[in-house]
Amino acid sequence: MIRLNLFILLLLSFGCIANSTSILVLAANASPIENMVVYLTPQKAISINSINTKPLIINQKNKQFVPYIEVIQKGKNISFHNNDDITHHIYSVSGKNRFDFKIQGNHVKESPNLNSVGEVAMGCNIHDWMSGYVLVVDTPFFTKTNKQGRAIFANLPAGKYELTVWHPQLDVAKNKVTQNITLPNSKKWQIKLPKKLLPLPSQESDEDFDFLEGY
Amino acid sequence: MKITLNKNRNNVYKYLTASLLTYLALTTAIFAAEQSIHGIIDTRLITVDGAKNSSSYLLGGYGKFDNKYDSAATLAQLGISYKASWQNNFSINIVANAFSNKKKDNIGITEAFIHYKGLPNSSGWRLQGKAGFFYPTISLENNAVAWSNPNTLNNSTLNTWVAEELRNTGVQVTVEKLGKFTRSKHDFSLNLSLFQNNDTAGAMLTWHGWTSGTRQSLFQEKLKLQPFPARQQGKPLAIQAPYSDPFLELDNRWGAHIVAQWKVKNKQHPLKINLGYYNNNTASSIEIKGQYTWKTRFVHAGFKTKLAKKLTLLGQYMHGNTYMKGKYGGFAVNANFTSAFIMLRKYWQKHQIALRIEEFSVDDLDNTWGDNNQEYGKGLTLSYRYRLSKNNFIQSEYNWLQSNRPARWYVKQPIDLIERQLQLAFRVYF
Repeated sequence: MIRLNLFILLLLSFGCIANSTSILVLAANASPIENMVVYLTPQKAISINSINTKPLIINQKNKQFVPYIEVIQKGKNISFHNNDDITHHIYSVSGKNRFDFKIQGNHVKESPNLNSVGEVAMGCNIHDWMSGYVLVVDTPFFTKTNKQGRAIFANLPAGKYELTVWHPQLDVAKNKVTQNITLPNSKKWQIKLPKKLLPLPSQESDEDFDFLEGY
Repeated sequence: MKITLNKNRNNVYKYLTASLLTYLALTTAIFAAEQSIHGIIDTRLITVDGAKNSSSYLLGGYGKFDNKYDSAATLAQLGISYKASWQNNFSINIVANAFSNKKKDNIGITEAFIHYKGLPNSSGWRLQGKAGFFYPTISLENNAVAWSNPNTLNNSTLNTWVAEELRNTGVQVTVEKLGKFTRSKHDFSLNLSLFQNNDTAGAMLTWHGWTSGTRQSLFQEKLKLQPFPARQQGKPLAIQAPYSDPFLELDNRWGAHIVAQWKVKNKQHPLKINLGYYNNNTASSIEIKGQYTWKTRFVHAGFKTKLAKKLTLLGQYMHGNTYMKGKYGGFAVNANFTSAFIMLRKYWQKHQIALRIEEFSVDDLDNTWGDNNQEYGKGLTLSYRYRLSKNNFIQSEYNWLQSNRPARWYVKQPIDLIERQLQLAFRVYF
């Protein structure tokens, strides 16, 4: 029995090496950084259309977009879940993926399909401090870095990729850094940001009273 | 003359009827509106200490609080704010208020307007518009439901006057630049209003001076004047009606109000500054049914910032002039007015303490007999608010006003007077 477990463990470890790719993203001060969008664009066309079948949900909670940053594959849509008991008026008014609608308290609404790659900067026309970002990418291989600063991809086909790290507060051209990588490779990939991120918007009102009107 | 007056009133009613019809048409539209009702119920126990037999300014006396020298239970405000909004960014807003303190009960509309709030464009420019009967953008205190003040029970003298005599009947256009679209910390806005029905603004301020309370004049309300000798038969202001009609059009001219605002989104010390100029642009020497045109112009400035976490500081300043002329020219009443306050507010968990100090003056510039409007005063307000639940608050407040107003001599009250008020309120917001 022990031998069998050991065997499985070994198999899994090999599996990880063979089928999982981990990319470590480091801030300018060399510490791991979480919630960075990381995506891999194959340099040759591949047959996989989508491996991320989970719908993208963005919550409105305490008059904030939660999560603040997300990534989605081109052609999919966002499901907005308003957890507040008040109406929000969600909009995206720049780039090619434009939409706006009101969403009542404790309701769910879907955005139209996002058919263009690029940044979707979301806001609320009632609560100006609300702010959120979705990056639309033309690849099925995308994720965000975890607490350890790692972006983990499973079952990547072998080949050459362009690795991109993106964040709206990354103050460089197009808010992204790229690097070419070839898979499989036992090398531990890591990428360091050239600059410190700009401060994240606080998504907080300057007011503290619950019953304010637009005076 | 009478016809003109009625005509102007009729215009307002026509406008309101048109608004109502538009509203009815829209409610039956395919895209049903989202409707909301919010409000405030503010009941208080008060006790006022001032001159013996002094009566509140609301009752035509010189008492500076909206409660007279007495102890009483009052309904300081029952405010309802109704809003119907559509997906096309238009909304209709109606605010009704009822007030009841001894011998001065009233119920009516304080605001009714159509509002358009466009979406910002990709560089952060946004357009807003308003049409109807609405408050000019002046107060930094009254930002809660039905123009209530969440921080103190009594408004500053500056904003008590705004509530008493200023209301725009007209249109307002606001252009905003939201900084976040260009990753800037700075927001700017410019707000221009063109209005009518504010031709008598300045009369009450001059004749009773600065006051402090919760009262907001209602659409139909008339305000009782003080009994100064110039109003007696055969005296210079004998034609003046005993009640001033605050939201009245007499000369069919448009007034203007412009406000510029700058906001800095700084996490530790956010800052909001606004600067404005108001001019009701009346033609002088017009009098209809005892209501005179008052030419009122003033500048106002305000700021709001956080000194530390949960410690805010805000202040406002206003300075201007108002005059009215008799039928044959010459200043009948001419006065400069100034008021300023600063408020410090600390809040933690369910508690809030607010301290406001203020200073105010009226400089009488005319030589009309029996109409001395000179005034100078200072005020202090200390307020404590406790949140019982999300909707329910208990608030206690001490108001202290010291003023010098020679006109009190007309009613045999001391020219130099200290008035004090203690209030305990139970406020429900919904």
